[in-house]
Amino acid sequence: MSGRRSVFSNSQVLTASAAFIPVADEVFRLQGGDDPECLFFQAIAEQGHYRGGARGRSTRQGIYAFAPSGQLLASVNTLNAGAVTKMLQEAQEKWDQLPAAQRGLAPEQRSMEGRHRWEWQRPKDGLVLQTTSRDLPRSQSAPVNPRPGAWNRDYAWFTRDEARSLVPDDPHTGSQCSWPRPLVERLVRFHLVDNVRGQSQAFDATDIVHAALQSTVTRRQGSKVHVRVTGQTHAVGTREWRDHASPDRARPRRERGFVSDLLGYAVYDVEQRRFVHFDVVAVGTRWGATQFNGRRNDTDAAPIGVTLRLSKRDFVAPAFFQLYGWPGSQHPGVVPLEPTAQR
Amino acid sequence: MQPDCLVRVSAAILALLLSPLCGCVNSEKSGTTAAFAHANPEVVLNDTTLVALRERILAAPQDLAWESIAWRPSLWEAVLEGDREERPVLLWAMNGHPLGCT
Repeated sequence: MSGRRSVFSNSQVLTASAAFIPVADEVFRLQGGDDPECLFFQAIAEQGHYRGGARGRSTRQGIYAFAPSGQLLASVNTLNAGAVTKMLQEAQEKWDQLPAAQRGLAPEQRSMEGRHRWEWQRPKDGLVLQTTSRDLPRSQSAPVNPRPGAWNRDYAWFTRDEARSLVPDDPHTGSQCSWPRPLVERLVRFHLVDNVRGQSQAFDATDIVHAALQSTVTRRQGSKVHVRVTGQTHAVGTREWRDHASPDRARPRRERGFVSDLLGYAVYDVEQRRFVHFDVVAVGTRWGATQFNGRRNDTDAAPIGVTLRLSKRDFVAPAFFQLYGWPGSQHPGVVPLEPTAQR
Repeated sequence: MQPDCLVRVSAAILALLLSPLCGCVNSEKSGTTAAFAHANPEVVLNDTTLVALRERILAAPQDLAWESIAWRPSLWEAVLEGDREERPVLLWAMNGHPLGCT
């Protein structure tokens, strides 16, 4: 996630990238899938900085500039904005020199398309929340946070019917409802995880010690139902994983946990059948680490916060969407996501 | 009661409320109570602190310039658009969606 700030928030990179059609995509599916879109990417990556290596097993992360024909212009994997700017300038020069016949797609390629993208299952007319996670200030006696500025983002999806179930059936001031268990579990297992410094792992359902959320109607204005959302969550899990920084190959069991209070406010429009406002905050404590979430040297209990807000962007699938259990959430050609190390 | 005392008492009450729940967990989770007690008791969520905590968690504007780029939703859509407009494509590909959880 560091690239968001160090690279793609850099003014020189923004200027140099203006000539290109920009796209951001998840590499795990692209590098391992077997549909035309994935194969198209793999052919480009084989010309780039990580060419060679086993298909689907070696990472192809990076920044690629290429002609629509699939011819690579330049590529790099770095958090250095200067290096990216240079790469984009080099790509632009190569594009300018590229013969027209080598720029575009072959006619038969234009009808190709991906066979599966997780965002195709996005909940039309449902509830799409954008989550932001960040460490909160530690007590003076706690170890210093080595990366206090880190934050991460994810998306949480709820279908239209699921969203409706977060508001009392007969909403009037004072009425209350508990969130359905499956939706509470979705929140705790997939969205109240410590991903501040990088992808974490989902909690198992059995890791949930306690979790409950409620919506209480604070007022009703015509079709708009104003609710106060409160809740508490508590999840603890253990997993075996190997620390790649460790010289031995041991895989000890390691604990991690997340305890939180939730509070916030939302507005549901019963005529539009959707939330028109959603702003909830979870604040609590995380401890432990998962294999790739950057906490291996920062496992003591420390405060963490997560915001859950209405999102305008709906084409980015939740990190753990494959575990949602929705029809179509599992793609047979790609194994379920296990986070892999950032390079 | 001073505000500082109030938040500490609130944290203590919260810890007490959660402690019976911790007692319900299996032995693998027995470290939970101790771990939770180590957290900063001054970070408390209530109607008074809600907005400040939310603003503290959310990304600052200078961290969001990357959102000014009109990222296309899929590689193939970008390729087709580049083909139509005769423009090269810039792909940012990461483990985890670069615009989501990486």
